[in-house]
Amino acid sequence: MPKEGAICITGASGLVGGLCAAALLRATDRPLVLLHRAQHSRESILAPIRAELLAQKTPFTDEDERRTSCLELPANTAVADLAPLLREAEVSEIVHAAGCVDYFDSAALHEGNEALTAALLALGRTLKLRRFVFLSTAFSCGFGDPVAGEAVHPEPLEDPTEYTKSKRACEALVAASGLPFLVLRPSILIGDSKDGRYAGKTYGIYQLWASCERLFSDRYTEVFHAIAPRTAVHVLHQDAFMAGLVAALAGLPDGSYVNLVSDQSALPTLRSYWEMFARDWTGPREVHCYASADEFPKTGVDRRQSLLASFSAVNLEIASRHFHFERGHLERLREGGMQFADATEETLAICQRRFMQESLRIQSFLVRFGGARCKEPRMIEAGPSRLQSVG
Amino acid sequence: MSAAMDATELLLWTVMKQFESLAVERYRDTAPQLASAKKHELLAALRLVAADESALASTNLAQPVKSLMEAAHGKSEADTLLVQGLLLEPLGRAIYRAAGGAKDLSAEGAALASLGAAASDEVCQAVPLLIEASLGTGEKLFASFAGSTRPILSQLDVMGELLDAHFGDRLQLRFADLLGEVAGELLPACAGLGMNRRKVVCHLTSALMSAA
Repeated sequence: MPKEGAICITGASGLVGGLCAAALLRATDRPLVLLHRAQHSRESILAPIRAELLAQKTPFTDEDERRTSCLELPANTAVADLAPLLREAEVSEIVHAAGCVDYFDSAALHEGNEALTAALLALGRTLKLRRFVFLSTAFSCGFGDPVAGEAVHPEPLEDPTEYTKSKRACEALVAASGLPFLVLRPSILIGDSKDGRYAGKTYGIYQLWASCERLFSDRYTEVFHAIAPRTAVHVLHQDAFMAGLVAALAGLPDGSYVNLVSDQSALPTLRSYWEMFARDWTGPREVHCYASADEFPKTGVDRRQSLLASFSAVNLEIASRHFHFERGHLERLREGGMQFADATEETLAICQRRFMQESLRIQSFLVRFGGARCKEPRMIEAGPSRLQSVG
Repeated sequence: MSAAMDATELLLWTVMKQFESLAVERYRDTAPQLASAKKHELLAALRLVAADESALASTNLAQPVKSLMEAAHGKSEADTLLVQGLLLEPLGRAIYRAAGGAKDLSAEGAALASLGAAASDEVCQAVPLLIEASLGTGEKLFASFAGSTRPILSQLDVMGELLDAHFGDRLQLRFADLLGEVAGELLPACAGLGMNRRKVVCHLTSALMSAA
């Protein structure tokens, strides 16, 4: 057993927890204890971790197999019962990546976030952990402050969703726990910066792509209407996430809060998202761009495009707000040698290409309508904002 | 001169017969106001056209239809009003309207589409008032709505591609268009019942647009 002891990871069956496990298997020689809910098995948890390591060209080995154990995470009220098992495994650190990501179900959010975090912190005190690492979200700052700092967030004027509020409440629990801690706040996770691979659920930009795939693959659309402001979309590549996690765990002092986000100056915007959607995928003649959901036409737009606007409204509303995140920790870690792939238009295009390649519907669309697709779609400013600027 | 009913049409009416049978049964048991004369007339007409299940049984739609029927089988008044009345009834109406506009529809099919749309219209108008009176409005209603409809929406999502494959070309019935119609009805109806529109949108999006 290495002298630092084992690392216990929660949520390893999900994207974030699985990436944590893959990263820590390669960056440390410490045993990992993966806590999972009853519906998952060791094999179902390890499969995406194996796939990720294989894609990194560092395949999962017999030694990795021996280093990795899985334990069922019981109901919140019984989490304390894990203490003897984790003590026996010499767990000295918990990386807490499990959580509820529902936007609005307050009861589920409380149970899956605050209550679970409180139970794990109590367990951590029993185990006298060396450190508790909490995976939060960059958006736990809510709407309000011009700059989201790397410290405890003040109460914002407003929250994008109940989810961000819940994660902020968890951060407060961690800070007040008496345990040494590290809070990591990743923004919206997307695929690998080099090949676009992504094994997560269809959240964030993938939900938008999945919606477009569903709605626009069986016909050619000549004119699109899009909510496409020129505001940065705060996406974070999964390889950057893993690099940031490893570097932060190795190099930052206890009590640090890290905004794990891409460099804002190079980020793609919602406008650039639509440009690459039009140029590389659907090839319409024109895209009419509106500055906000409020400006999107209520009539005169076909049902499918209205549906897309409705379905993407909440995510687009959040994405179209101006967030500015302090990045001091990341800059220092980068100066110390961390390789961190910032998201750019080019790297987002890599992810879109991968999504398209893996979609039978889109491939069929490209075959059927390839000839009709316009090579250079016109992006047209539309809506009241344009009229004001012209006037 | 109208066309004869072909196998695709017969398949559609067989599927609709199953859903209308379940709807009328649920309405009769828990919300009798919705088991209208038009609904009974429609069901009788569907049973005449699709006398048995053979048109459906041999297709790849049989299992997903069965799964959807099972998911929609909640017996409480809340399930009936929210699943059958608020969600599936507008979907049925959208199907009848779309099928009614298809060219080369048989005379029997055109009559069924017209009767189906009219019967669904009546129910769709009555449902919000019944929901308000029986289940209330606002946040609590949204929680019931989300809980009751999540499994149905997931099953519908599974059926999307199959619906397009069977009915897209012949009857111009495409899942994306149906969703557009249903969402266009459902969102204002839910907002009118005091549900938070953003929450309803997120619920529909996560259920319908998440699976790869």
